[in-house]
This record gives sequence, structure tokens and C-alpha cells, in this order.
Amino acid sequence: MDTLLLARLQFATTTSFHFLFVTLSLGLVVLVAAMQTVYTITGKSVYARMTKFWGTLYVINYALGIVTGLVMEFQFGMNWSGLTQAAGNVFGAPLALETLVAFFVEATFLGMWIFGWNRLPKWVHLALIWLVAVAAYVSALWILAANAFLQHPVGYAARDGVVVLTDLKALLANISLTDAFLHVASAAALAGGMFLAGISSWHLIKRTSETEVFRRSLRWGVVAAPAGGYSIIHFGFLQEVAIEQYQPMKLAVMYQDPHRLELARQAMLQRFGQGDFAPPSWIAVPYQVMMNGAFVLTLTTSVCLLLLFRNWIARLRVPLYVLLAMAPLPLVLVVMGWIVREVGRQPWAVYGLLTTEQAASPIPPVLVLASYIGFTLVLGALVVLDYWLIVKFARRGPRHTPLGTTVAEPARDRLMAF
Amino acid sequence: MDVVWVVLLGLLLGGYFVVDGFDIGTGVLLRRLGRGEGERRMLITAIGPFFLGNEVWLVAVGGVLSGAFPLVEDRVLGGLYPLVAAGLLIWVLRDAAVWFRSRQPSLRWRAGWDRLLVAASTAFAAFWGMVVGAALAGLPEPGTTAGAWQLTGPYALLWAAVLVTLFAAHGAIFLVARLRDDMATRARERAARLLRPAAALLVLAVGAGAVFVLPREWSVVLPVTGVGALAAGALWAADTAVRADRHARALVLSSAAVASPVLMVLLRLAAQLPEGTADAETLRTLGGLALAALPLAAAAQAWMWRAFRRPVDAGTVVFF
Repeated sequence: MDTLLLARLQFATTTSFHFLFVTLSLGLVVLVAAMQTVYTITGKSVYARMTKFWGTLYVINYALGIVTGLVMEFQFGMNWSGLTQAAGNVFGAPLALETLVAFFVEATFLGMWIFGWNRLPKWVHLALIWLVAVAAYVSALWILAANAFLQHPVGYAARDGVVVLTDLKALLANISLTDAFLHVASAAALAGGMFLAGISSWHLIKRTSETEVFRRSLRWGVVAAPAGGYSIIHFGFLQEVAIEQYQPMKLAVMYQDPHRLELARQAMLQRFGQGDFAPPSWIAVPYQVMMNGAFVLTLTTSVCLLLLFRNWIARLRVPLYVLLAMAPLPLVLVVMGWIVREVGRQPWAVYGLLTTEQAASPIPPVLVLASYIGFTLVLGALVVLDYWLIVKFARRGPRHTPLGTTVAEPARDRLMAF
Repeated sequence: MDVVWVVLLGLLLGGYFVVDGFDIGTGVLLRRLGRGEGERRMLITAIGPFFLGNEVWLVAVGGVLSGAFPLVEDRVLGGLYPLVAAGLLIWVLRDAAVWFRSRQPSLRWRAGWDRLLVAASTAFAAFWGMVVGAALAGLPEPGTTAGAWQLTGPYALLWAAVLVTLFAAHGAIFLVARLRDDMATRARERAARLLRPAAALLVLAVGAGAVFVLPREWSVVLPVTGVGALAAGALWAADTAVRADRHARALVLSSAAVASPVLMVLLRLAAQLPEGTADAETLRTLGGLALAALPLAAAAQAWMWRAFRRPVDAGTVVFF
């Protein structure tokens, strides 16, 4: 195997792991912050239990978002030095800003939120989770700005064969960024909503205690999910309008429409000359899975939303089973979406400027293979472990969540789990 | 403008060594200082509130490298490829041990993750030593990867020993300030036992570097050796301070010593660094917003340290 293929596989694997966790984090943080807000205002204990229960699952999920993100940040420099040399001036800027402007405060405040239960004034503690949420979305915006530059380079000028950053605002106004960011944010809402709805359904099916917590959580989830769903569809189709302008070939391959393919081929010939500038045709499959999956989820959760009337959703039982079964689906769809966006950009690393082949580092394949195996095994094992823990804590329910436990009570923290 | 970014990079990486040094050192000493599961959880709780806010300094180093020093980033990450890949894996394992160890009640589960935390923290400290050693020997030419001798030869291994000892001593002093009673006493004894060996190893590594490794130019050898000597002196003074129960002073001194390898590397690479910055126009466009964000990040960190300044007691929240 060659370096290029291995470097691509490594990036695809790490980012796919990363998206699974950050999408859910982005969705859950807003829901948890909203729960804590209702609790802080009304003082009703059911919202405190909801905040701690879903907050626990949020932070367990967060762990893998962090560790996969750490690896990814440094993989750019390791495996893609051609990208850094040709376009690092521009591509690196949003990554730098993400760490300095957003992630720095996000991580600091998340630590304070986790360890601040009952220690910090309650309004301050509430402010912390909202700051974490805001920083998380700002962080997502900068990362997507970097990705949007790869899809549709703007805000730069070529000086003596090197690309330099000239306009930061243009990076943020990129047509490849705005709708995509809202699409991702909507996917987070759908994923978070389905997570709430699915786990709450399990507890209602099993008739565990804490009915009040899960009855309310189910309602929150069933409201958030279709809201995210319609929004995803809206911003998904808006993106296609933009993609038709800046990457006509990607859209033609996604649609597998012969007429569009022919037009795109002519456009490529005119712009880049002879050569194959089409992404692999199989991206039509993940595209169809993503789109139809989003339709099914949106329709199903919309019906569930109606069934909230007089609690038919729980009385009929069947919707609970459906929601439970569909809970992980948004995460699958997110990975499909990213495959379409990223593989669909091929053969370009930076569209029209640099091919993926030119972007790869001149590293011996054996080193890239060794690191690929290492990262995949370690991160893969941690992914499995983290989901196992999430399931375990989800089944345990809101009594005895680890959030807010003190040094004096570790015995309780140990005993309760049995 | 270049100078501003070099200083920022140095501050972030030096700051990272100081603050994540607390966590690395605590990890290294976890099973020696903590007797039994309960005490080990106390130790992890001592670093707990700061853990995320500490390692984020390294994430920021990565960001500044890619934004302002794309070519340096290439040469460091590509040139030290096998070492960097191993370091990332160790970092991931260290974090996994911290996040997962208290998520199950079983004592066996917790003991297993504690062992991993000690191993990963020690390996992580050694990794930083090897990076310092390899960097002091000079970054490989662009597009090439350093050989096994530079990455894992005796000089790199000597630096690994320096940083394992140094981070452990630094972490022990931090724990004296964060704990009470018996555990604080044990941390103090441990710090007193580690500081002089750390100083001796540092002198040895800096001396060996000056004789065998550094380029024979006074403009490099003098400042690097000077910083090394000052750092060794700081460790010696920290030892005196610890024995006199002056912990704040000891912490300042050990922080200076822990950050010193970063300064040495920057001085060594000073000639190579400016070539590696992004062009002036990019830095100007990037600069305003990035530099404006720094006071905000600093304020968040200051607030974190202030809010959790009280030593661990029965009412302290646990999580990790």
C-alpha cells in the first residue's frame, strides 16, 4: 500500500470516530444547558435530576470527542505536509483561531462545570455550561471554515507560488461554510433529540423508576429531533444549490444523472484541461442513505410529536420501540454525510489548487501504516469502551449520577453501582 | 510580528510544560503516593478541576504551529514522525485512564486504569524528553524523517530521564499545595527526594549536549547552557525551599525549571524558526483576532485557578 492511500484511510478513520462523538456533544450540550436553566429558574428537582443524568452521558461522550480531536489536529502536520506547504498559510489560520478563540475556553469551562457542582454559585455554574455550549459552536464554526476552504478556497491570494491569507471575513462568508454549518448544527439537534428520546423510551418500556424524568426527557427529545430534522433537510438542499456552483462534478456524481455528468465533464475540461476530475461514483450510495435516512427520521419524529398529545406516545408503546431502535441512526447519517462531502471533493485536497496526491507527506509507507494501525486499534477500542459505558450509565438511570459527588461520598459512588 | 508569534509559541509550550507537568507528575507518582483506591482518587481529584484546562495548552500550541508556523509544524511533525505518533498514542491513553478509571465501582477496574495512568504518564514525560533531545540535536532537513539514533539514542534517552524526574518532582510540589495532612507530607518527602537528582540529571544532559550535540557556535552553546545552568540552580533552590516548608516558592522555582527545556529548544532553533513563519500578510490578518482572544483565555484560566484554589477536602467534588 502507498503512503497516499494509508494517509487517507488514517484521516477518514480518525475523523469518522471524531464526528460520532462531537455531533452528539454539540446536540447534548444545548439540551443539558437548557435543562439546567429550567432548574435554576424553577428550582424543581426533576430538572436537577435530568441535568445530572444527561450531563453525565454528555461528559462521558465528550471524552472520546477530545481524544480523537487531539490526534486529528496533529495528523494534518504529520501526513499532509504538501497541504501545509501550499496552503498552510490560509488553512492553518482557522485551526489556530479555533484553538485560541474557542477550544481553550471550552475545555477550561467544562472542567470548571464538572467540578463546580454545589461549589460555585448556581447562576455562575449555569453560566459555565452556556459558555461551554457557545464555545463548542464557535469551535465547530472555525473547523468547518477550514474545511470549507478546502472545498471552495476563498479569502486568499497567490503570491510567488505561495497562498497567503488576505481576508478572514471571506473565510467566514464562504458559501461552502454557512449552510454546511447550519446543516451540522441541525444534525446535532437531531442526534441529541434522538438520544434523549431513545434512552427515555427504554426506561418507559422497562417501567423503571423516575418516570417523571423520562416522561419529560422524551418530550424534549421528540421536540428537538424533528426541529433538527426539518432544518437538516432545508440546509442540505440549500447546500446542493451552492455545490452546483463551486463543485458541479460532485453534485453530478451524487445524483448519478447522465446529463449533469456530461455538462460537468465539459466544465472540468474547460477549467482544468485534460484529466479525470470526478470523485468515485460510489458516493451516490452514502448520499442516498443520508438523505433517505433523514427523511425517515424527520417523518417518524414528526408523527411522535403529534402523539405527545395526551401522552399517546407512551400509551401506544409502539412509538417507544421505534424511537429506541432509531436512536443511533443520526450518527450513522452524519458519517455518511461527511463521506459525501470529503470523498466528493476528490481528486482535490484544496479544490482547484492542490490535488490530494500533491498534499500527502513524503513519509515512508511503513511509518504511516504503523501509525494507522496504532491509532485505529487504540481509538477503536476506546470508542467501543465509551459506548459500553454510555449504555451502562444510560440504563442505570438518574439516581446516583457521578456529577456532584464529593470526596466524602466515594463509598456511595462505589456502592450504588452494584 | 514574527517575534510576537515566536514569543507566543514559547509561552504556550512553556506554559504547557508547567501546567500539564502537574498532571504528568501526579500520574507518574500516583501509585507511590497513594495507598489504596481512596487515596489515589484524592490524588486525581487534586488535578481534576484543572486537567482539561491544562492539556488544552498543547492543543493551542498545535493551533499556533499550524496557523503561524506551517513549515516548522511540517518539519517537527514530519521530521520526528515515529516519535510524534507514539506521543499522540500515549497522550490518548493517559487521557483515557483519567476519564475512565472512576466510571466503574470495581476495585480491579480502577487498579487497572491506575496502572495504565502511571505507565502512560511516565511514557509521556519520557516522550517530551526525547522530543527535547531530538530538537536540541537539530530538526531534520525538510521532507526527511530523523533516524533512530536521533530519536532514541543515548542523548534522547538522557533527556527522557531528566524530564521523568523533573515532572515527577514538579508534580509532587504541586500536590503538597493541593493536599493535607499525611498525603501532603508524603508528597513533600517525595519532592525532597527527587529535586536534587533532577538537578544533577539536568546538568548532565546540558553538559553532554554542549560537548557532543549542539553545533559548535558560541551563539547557540552559551545561551542554551546558561539556561540549563539556571534551571539546575532553580531546582537546587526549590529543594531548599521544600525542606523549609516554603511551597509557593518551591512551586515557582520548579515551574521555571520545567519550562526551561522549551526555552533551550527555542534558543537552539532560533536560526531556523523565522524562516518557518507564515508570511507577514497572513500573520497580520490572523493576528488581531488571535491576540485579542488571548486575554480572554488568560482570564478563563485565572478564574479556574482561583475558583479551585482550596486544597482537596471532604467537600471537594470528585469526577475523574
